[in-house]
Amino acid sequence: MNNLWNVRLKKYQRMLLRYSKFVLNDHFVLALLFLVGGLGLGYSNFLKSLPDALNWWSKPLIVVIFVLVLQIGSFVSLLDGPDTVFLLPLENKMFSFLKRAFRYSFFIASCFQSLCVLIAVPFLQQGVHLTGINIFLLWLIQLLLKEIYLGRFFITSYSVSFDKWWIKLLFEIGGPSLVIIVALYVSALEALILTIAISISVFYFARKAAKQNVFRWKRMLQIENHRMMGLYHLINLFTDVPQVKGKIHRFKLLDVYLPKMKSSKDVFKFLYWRALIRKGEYSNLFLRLSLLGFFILMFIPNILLAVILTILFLYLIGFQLLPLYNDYDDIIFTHIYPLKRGARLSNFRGMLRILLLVTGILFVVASVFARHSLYETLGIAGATILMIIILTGNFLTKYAAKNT
Amino acid sequence: MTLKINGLVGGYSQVPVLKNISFEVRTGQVVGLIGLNGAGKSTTINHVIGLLTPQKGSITIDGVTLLKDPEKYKSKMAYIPEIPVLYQELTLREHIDLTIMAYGLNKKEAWLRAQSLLKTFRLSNKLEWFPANFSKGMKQKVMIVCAFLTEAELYVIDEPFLGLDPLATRDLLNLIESERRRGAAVLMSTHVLSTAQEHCDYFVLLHEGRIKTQGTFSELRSAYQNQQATLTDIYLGLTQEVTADE
Repeated sequence: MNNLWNVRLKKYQRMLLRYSKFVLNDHFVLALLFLVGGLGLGYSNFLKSLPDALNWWSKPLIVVIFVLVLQIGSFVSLLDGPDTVFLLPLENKMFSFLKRAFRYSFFIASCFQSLCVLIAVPFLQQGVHLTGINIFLLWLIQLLLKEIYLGRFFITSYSVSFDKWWIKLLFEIGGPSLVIIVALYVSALEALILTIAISISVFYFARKAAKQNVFRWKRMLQIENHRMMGLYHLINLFTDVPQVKGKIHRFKLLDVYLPKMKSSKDVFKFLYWRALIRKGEYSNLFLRLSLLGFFILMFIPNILLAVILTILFLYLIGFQLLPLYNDYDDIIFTHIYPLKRGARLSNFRGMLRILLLVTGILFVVASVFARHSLYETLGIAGATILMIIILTGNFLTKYAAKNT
Repeated sequence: MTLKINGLVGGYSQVPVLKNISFEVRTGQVVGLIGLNGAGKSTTINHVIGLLTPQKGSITIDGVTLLKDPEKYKSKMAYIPEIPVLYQELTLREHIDLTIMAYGLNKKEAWLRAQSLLKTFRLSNKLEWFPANFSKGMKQKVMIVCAFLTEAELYVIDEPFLGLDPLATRDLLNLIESERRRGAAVLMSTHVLSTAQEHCDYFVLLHEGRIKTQGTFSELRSAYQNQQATLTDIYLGLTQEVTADE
């Protein structure tokens, strides 16, 4: 079983490593740097603005943040669909497999939790007036709470009763809130002793449940699949993940806005707009990047930076939509229809223009929110128009020629 | 309308699969393309529909090659693939709309034809569904409906009977017959020999990329020197002859 876990883990880490290359691409790292820089600056300004006296909202804020942070990191069991058939004879050995899974999940989750606590330290000192020892105790408590959080999954893999919604709520939100409230308002040491007691009893329950019940294959697979799909969806924002593809949502309400059947000139217009709306891959990308750009630009008073970001985001959106041009290559009929040459490119160009124009308008609105002067807003609009002309002009023609 | 394949050499790579193929399909004719797995039936069809470019020889429809006038060449032809190909994100209604658009058909008339075809193949109540989620047989029916509503001059059909229920098979054969009478030509590859014998009026027997023999059924019988032979007999005879050769 140890061996099986190691093999699974290696495969999983290889997958993560492979995708991380796509996720941490140059564009994203750049955007992330801006974001972290901006947030860091905001955080430090916020700390400076804090009064010497204790704010009434400081402690409740910490409770909310710590409970939210606690939700990061899930139980990684690395179970796979065929396991219900192939591992069925090893039923009694699943406990040791789960122990490995638990240790790994806890290790990964601890890293995230510790990082978040570390980020909170300046506020804990200046905003909540905690001593170093209390912050240390709070960190231990947070880790133990995460251990208990993951421990529930351990028990759940054998016991149905720990899978009830109110038990889940108690383990993941209710209990932790209470413990952190005790730690902040009463005594951190007492809260720590309380969490240690709970964590010991959770492991007692886990052993007991494993002895009395059979492994819940279906449920654990469901949990793991759910987690993996979440992960795939996240990665899918950056690159294509085969597991995510193929989900079609009709969005019937939007049907009236889709291009109607017209002449053979508009065959690809008919197709592209439907692919965009219903396939989700491209619309998600477009919406997310446009809204992200919108919100970032709203907080950038510096006009030069705003123009650079406008150009960067329009380029990112336009560039990432380009693969849609080849979306129908696999469908034999698009090669067999008696269509005029060039109709496909002009249909695609038309759509790309409209999409980038929508983004551009959003950015101009953001510029108004950022209180730019009239000339500065016109500058953003000009940059947008220029980018649309460049992206949908020769750049697109060349791309299409290369990919036909 | 005449589809003329003349000295076709071609395939997927530099090594040709087809070696010097020549035959014709004329108005009002149903031509059966018969052969073992890997004989080159689908490769021939892929050349006809224009997915592959001939290395030597030519393929013309009414004297026009694909290279010379792709729009004219393609507008005369409708195709039913062996494995149904559908747009994942289009409903059945939109598949029909798209076909009408792509072939520049008259909307009203084409939809009337579509309605009657949908009724024949029992799909009328599924217009708002996504055919990508249909069963194999039902997907095949969608392919048939979309192809036949174009009233093309040439139908190219790859293994049409696989996955169809007996009722749909009968309906498809009736449809082919009525299109033939209207003046369309049909090129169809198949393994269902008893059906081919009854419904095709010309046969091209392919083996290892060469035409082993071609002609009407009575011509094939004469060549096989048995006037009582069924197409299956002739086909199996060809197979055994080949096995003996090897």
